[in-house]
Amino acid sequence: MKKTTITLCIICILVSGCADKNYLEKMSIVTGIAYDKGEENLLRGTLSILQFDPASPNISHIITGENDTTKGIRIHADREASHEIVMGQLRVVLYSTALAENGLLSLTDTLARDPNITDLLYLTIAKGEAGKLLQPESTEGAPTPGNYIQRLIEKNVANEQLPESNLHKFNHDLYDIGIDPVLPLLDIEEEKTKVYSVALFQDDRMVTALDPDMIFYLLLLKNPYRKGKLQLSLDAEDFKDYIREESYEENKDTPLDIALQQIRSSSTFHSRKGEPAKQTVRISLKQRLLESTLQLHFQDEQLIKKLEQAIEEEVKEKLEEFMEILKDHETDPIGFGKRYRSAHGKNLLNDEEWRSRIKDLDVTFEVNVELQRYGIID
Amino acid sequence: MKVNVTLSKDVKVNALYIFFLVHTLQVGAGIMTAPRTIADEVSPDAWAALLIAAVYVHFIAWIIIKTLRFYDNADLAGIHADVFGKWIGAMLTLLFTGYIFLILLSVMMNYIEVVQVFIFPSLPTWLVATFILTLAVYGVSGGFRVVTGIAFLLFFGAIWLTFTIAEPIRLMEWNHFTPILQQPWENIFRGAHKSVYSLLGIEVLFFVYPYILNKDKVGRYAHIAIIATISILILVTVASIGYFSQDQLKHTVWPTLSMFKIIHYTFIERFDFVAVALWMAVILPNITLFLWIITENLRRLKNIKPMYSMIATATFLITSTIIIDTRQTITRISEWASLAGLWLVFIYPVFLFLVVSLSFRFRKKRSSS
Repeated sequence: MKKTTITLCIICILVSGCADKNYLEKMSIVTGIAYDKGEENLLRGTLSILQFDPASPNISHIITGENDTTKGIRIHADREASHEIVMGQLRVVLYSTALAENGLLSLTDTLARDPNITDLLYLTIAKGEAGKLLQPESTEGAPTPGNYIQRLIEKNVANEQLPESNLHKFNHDLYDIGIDPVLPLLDIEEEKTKVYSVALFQDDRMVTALDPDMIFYLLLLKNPYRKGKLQLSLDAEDFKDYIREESYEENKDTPLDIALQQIRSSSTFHSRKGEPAKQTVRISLKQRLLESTLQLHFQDEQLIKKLEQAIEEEVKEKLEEFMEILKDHETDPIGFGKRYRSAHGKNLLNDEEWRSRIKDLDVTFEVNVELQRYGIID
Repeated sequence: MKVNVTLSKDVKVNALYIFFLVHTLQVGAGIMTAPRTIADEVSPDAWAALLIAAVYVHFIAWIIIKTLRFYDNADLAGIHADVFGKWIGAMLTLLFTGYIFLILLSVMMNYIEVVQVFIFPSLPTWLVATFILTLAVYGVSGGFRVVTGIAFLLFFGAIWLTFTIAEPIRLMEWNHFTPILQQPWENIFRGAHKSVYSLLGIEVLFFVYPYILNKDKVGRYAHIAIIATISILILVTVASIGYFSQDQLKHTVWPTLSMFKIIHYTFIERFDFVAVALWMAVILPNITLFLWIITENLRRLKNIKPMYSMIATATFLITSTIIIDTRQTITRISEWASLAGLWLVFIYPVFLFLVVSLSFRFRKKRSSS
């Protein structure tokens, strides 16, 4: 018995050497893929690849392929690379605006289906041609452009400048009733890839690019802020009593620009049963002021009240402006429909019904602003 | 055939181990898919369906123990022989054994499919089956105490996976659950019915009862095991419903495993691979215990040596895995096993209890008159 056990153990150890070997040096690790419309309805894929080759100083490579399916592109890419192409480290997928406007479902479906691909992968939209975004001059020390874009988005999501946009979140919102997904919109400028704005969707079809100034309001309604940032322009005329004289005389015609930081927000949505398009949103904002273009007398309590009121009005106005954009494009990234369903009953509203009612959305905003601090000097 | 099993004290185990036996048998392949099948029927109120199922499972466990208490040291084969006679009793025991075989096959096939989809797409099914069954045969050849030991050890090997669910829970959206209890009652009951497959396993009491030393405590540990299973099932189901949107969940084959996809640590980036590999620790007690039940039943019926029946069963199982290889057949086998389980585990014990108690009352009357 003892002999058999020992023999079995030895066999187990020896046999495990027969498993498939994967040498890191012999693999092309794909970190990012960009999809564009190719010629004649074909799909053009650009792969950002990492190759550990001790002999070569260049570890980042680019391969392009053209085919009708995403997996076909991989087969095409295999012809161009001597190394095994592996997708396990895929971090970011970019789609050109032209592709996104035709619907992304057929392209994202394969990502969700493949067990090798992580759910934490970022989906993004390129403002112009997606392939170019994977070929910037500088990657700020990231091994490949794919990793650079991942870090870029990760940081901006953590700093509450962009909505969460990983594969899981996109699929979640896509399949949920009464909410549309959003994805970050990237652009390349002076040979450097950067975040441009946010793309709004109708189901899986991109409908418009949001004005970059409006991202704050999108996020304000989507999630509570923990440490948000905002810059506002107020009318200097209203504050002329509080502005230090020498400062006012010098900048007579400029508006009063203020920068708010450490914004903490909360919002509650209210609606009545049977009226999904008529909703009230109560928003409360707590923040500190860190910069103003004009010298103000911050000791004055009246001024703080007035500032708070002015910010409230400005935020409300911008929110209404934001709602107009949503209504114009019949998209609901906030999930007004979803919130209505969850408040009054899941079977009250279906996807098509809600889509047809978005243009009638009538949302009243009640904003409450509290300025808590204004830096270390008065 | 003797109704009561005579066993020496050194092959018996303490009643505490009933907890590990029942719990590890209940948590198996079912929990990988359970959130989806339950949510399909009754998405926002799945927890209510599971609570109803929990109450019923507790009731069945109580009935089973009540039935066993009529005898000193009998198992299912003994009870069948006692109340139904030699032939019908043997038929019924064989029916039960067939069901155990079916469920063993379905658990193993489901797990192998997951391994093939997630980790080794090119690994042939029969090879994985051979690996698993070699291990199981090795365990079962050690006798009941080794089987119990496997359940005990691997319980601790797998239970910590529950804590990793904290990450998906953090990303849950609570408005998937509101407004509560708006589903029609028939949907909730249908959801409870669907959770059956992941709650099967209390039938093990019928087979291990003779092997327990302190029988008065069997009930306590069986009920604790059911509470543990239900808690984990509710946790996983509620987390999946909150984490996935309703239609997304309908497209996800293994929601429990898909939730692991969002977990990553600095030292291990893709936790889902670890989870799938570790799921072996969840599956193995199932396989060994089921295999032990089959051999034990055959030993009781025809006095077949465990080693022979074990090897024969394992060979038969490996052959079956070669024939069955598509998703559809695996699903169909799971459905059959689920249906058989519903009848044999959740309805039949009530009938058996009535028959046994009637026969005992009848005998008492006859002996007193």
